[in-house]
Amino acid sequence: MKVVKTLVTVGITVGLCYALNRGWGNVPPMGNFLSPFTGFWTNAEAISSKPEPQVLNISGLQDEVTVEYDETGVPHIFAQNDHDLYLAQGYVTAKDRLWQMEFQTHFAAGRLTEIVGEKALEQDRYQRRMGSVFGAEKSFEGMMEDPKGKVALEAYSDGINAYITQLKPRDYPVEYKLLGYAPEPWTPIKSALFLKNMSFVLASGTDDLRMTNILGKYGKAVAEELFPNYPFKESPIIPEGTPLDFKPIPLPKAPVDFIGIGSNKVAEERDKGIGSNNWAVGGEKSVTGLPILSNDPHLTLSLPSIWYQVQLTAPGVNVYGSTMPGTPNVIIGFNNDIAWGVTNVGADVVDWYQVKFKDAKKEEYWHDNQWKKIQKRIETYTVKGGKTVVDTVLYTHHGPVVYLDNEKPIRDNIPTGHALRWIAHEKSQELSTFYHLNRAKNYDEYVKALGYYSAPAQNFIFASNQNDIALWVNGKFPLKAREQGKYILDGTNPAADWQGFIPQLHNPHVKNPKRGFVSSANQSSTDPKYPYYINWEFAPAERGRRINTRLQTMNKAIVDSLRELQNDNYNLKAEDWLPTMLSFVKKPTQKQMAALRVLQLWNKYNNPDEIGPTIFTVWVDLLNNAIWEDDFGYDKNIPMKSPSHARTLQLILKQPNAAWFDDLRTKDKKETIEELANVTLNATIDSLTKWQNAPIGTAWAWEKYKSTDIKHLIPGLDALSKMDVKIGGGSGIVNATTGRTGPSWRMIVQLGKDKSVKGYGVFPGGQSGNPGSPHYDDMVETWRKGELNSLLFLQNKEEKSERIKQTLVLKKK
Amino acid sequence: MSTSSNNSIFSPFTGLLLALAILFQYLLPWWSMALASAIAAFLLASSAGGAFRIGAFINILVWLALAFWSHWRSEGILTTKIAGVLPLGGSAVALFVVTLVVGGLIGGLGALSGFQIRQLIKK
Repeated sequence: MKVVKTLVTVGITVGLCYALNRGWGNVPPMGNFLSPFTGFWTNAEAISSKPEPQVLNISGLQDEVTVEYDETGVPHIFAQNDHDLYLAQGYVTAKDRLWQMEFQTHFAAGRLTEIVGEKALEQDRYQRRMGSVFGAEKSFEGMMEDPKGKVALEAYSDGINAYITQLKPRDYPVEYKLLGYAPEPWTPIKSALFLKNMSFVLASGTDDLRMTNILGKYGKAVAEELFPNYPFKESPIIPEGTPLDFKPIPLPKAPVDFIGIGSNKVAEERDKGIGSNNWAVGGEKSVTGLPILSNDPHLTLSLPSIWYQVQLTAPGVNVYGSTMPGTPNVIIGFNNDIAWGVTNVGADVVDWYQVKFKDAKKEEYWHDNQWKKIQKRIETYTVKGGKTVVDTVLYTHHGPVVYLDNEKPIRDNIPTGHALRWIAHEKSQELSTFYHLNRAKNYDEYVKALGYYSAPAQNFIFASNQNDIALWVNGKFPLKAREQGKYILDGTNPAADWQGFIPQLHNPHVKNPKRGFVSSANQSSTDPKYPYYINWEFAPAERGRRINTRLQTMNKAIVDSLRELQNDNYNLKAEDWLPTMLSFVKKPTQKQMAALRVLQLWNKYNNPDEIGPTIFTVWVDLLNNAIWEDDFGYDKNIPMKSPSHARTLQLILKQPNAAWFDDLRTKDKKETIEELANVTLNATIDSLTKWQNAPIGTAWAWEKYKSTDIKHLIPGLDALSKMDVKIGGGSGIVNATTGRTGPSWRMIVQLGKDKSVKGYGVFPGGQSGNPGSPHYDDMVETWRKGELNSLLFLQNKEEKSERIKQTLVLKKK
Repeated sequence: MSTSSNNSIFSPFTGLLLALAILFQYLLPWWSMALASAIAAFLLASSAGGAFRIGAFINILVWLALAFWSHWRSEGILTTKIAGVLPLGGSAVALFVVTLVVGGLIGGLGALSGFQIRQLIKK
């Protein structure tokens, strides 16, 4: 009896320990997670920090490094050589952001199954089949060829590992405890994976399939008419009339017209909020007589923050700015002499080639009048729990055949049976660009640094205290015939291949333009006179047009003038559209009256409490949808793209009786644009009333409709997110804060002589990735209010500042 | 078997249990609390009920002290967040209760196991 009793007790005890020691589906390993010895409790950081310097022994250091943390948790690193500088950068970044760095590189490497199991397999497969690991490997090769890049990359990696090896399980970031796994050693190739992932975020957009479906349905004339290669209203990045300072090389001959078979998978729109603004005003427009530069990259708003601020100081370099955890150097920032920033170009660097396989074995494909061998790359996925899945990806000389015809793509703008040619598969040296920019002292050194860069192509803005301002639309651009790659290309025709690259010095650029400022907001890089093809469509022009109008009239600029422009909520699209839309409502009904009054009184600013932007946004979307859905969205199996809003407005204004306005789904009736406007206004009012279950009024406020959330990287963790942040702006607004995207780092730099440069910045989060740290989200409120922190830029380690709250001394072991 | 002083709050049993619980959990994974409780009870507990009660009580005490210290010095910055991540409606109190139930249960069962094993061997 006693034996049985004992066995039962011991059994229950051991069983409970076992059950609580492992995760069950979404339930974390609760025993470990709840234990105050090992669990989340140990991640809660004390509010008051220790003022006494902390000394740590780090293996691999060549000399002593001092790290001063300021009151926002920004590390200011003082090293005695490059190696130690990057080692320390790796160390402090890992200290604040280890989980995020590893998670994001696992994502990039298609290894999420190792953390979350089978449910991530399709995502992982997509990542690898697009060739992101293949690209990272090549990229890594390129980065290691630059001896300086190699030192930085390896030391950075050593620094991260120095941090990881001294961790005990109780010190792991809380997300490891929540998901039940442990950090693995860092390797330098992870930095390459991270940078490749930026190409995924910024330079993987592809409409080729949709455009080919349109081509198949309506023919080339209609496709080109409704999807023009330059927008109706534009203010290009490189000002019109900027003279060329190079002799263009001839464009390759356009391949013969090709109508691909397209594909029949359902379409999905790209996130419209990804983009950025930057601008710099020259000395003649500023109070100080020297340039002021501004940049705000718009990315998905997430926690831990995408960006991490740091000051890096060593012989030959003293730079401050933001970087992305996982990569050494500063990506957007300033030093004593120059400041720089980036926005995305959105070049056409993704092309699809229809593959003709010899037979079902898919071992050879037809190209240049011969059968060529398919290369195979084996991808192995380790699934949490021990299972492995093996996948073979076929490669032509173009690149991977991402999905075969019998497979269903996870992203539905990916054609099946087509090979992908993508700039992200090229060998590259992006890190060298940042290494040299961090140290650049003038325009020439900035231009030299840009020469290393390949993807994702960026509009690199520049200002120096020699009173130069400049902008280079920079990256590696394939040398193509005009509009080559607007549609799917013929994979058998060698003339359709990429024929080399645009010489880097021929990339669009401008230095000290007459207008006294440079700017970019993802709009068309140049006017149509530029001798090469970069893309046929860029981001809508509204932000760029608004910024350029404001800068044109700006004089005696100070930092605050630029800050105010960063927060500009003016809705230029409403200015373009509203008068026309309102003119269509000739005899308003009772119901329409209230909405019309709101729209007529609205000052066209997307401020948080306005109702106007809510009604306008819904109405304009419904109207565009009503015009085009019957023509381009009638069959979910044939994904097409609707003409841009800009093209649609042009059509409404110039051809108000166009046949396109008729809804083909109503056989015995011919709709006019006026009718569509009235019907969609009613639909707008109905849907908004239903949404809030309330009539027009404060419940319809823009901030409620837009509902900006800054979410934790793990889906569903609202408790670790900042939900419903009350802020204005929107898509196409200079303050480009949408529901899920927005200015992810706002920076303004006032250049100055003799080390008097002043930087200001903020991001929607905090320096620490630990939800248990006061620095997890302590910048959100400053960001929300449109304010900036004054950035502490120290000249040397002896410089004292009362803003320094903690000192960390790293000594060699 | 009579109730000895080893079942009171201040006894060699509670003292040893306290020391082992802290030492084991500092050095080993969380479940070592069951082991610590079992060893202490094996050596010094004098009744099954006492072993369970004291095992649960001491472990709750240790966990409570540590959890509260973490909560207090961080002004609860993470407690409310985690109480939202787990389905506890953001209630820090509920999170404390869940934590202490787990700690108490494992501690109590561990101690009971230790006591029962000794009874078996003694015989």
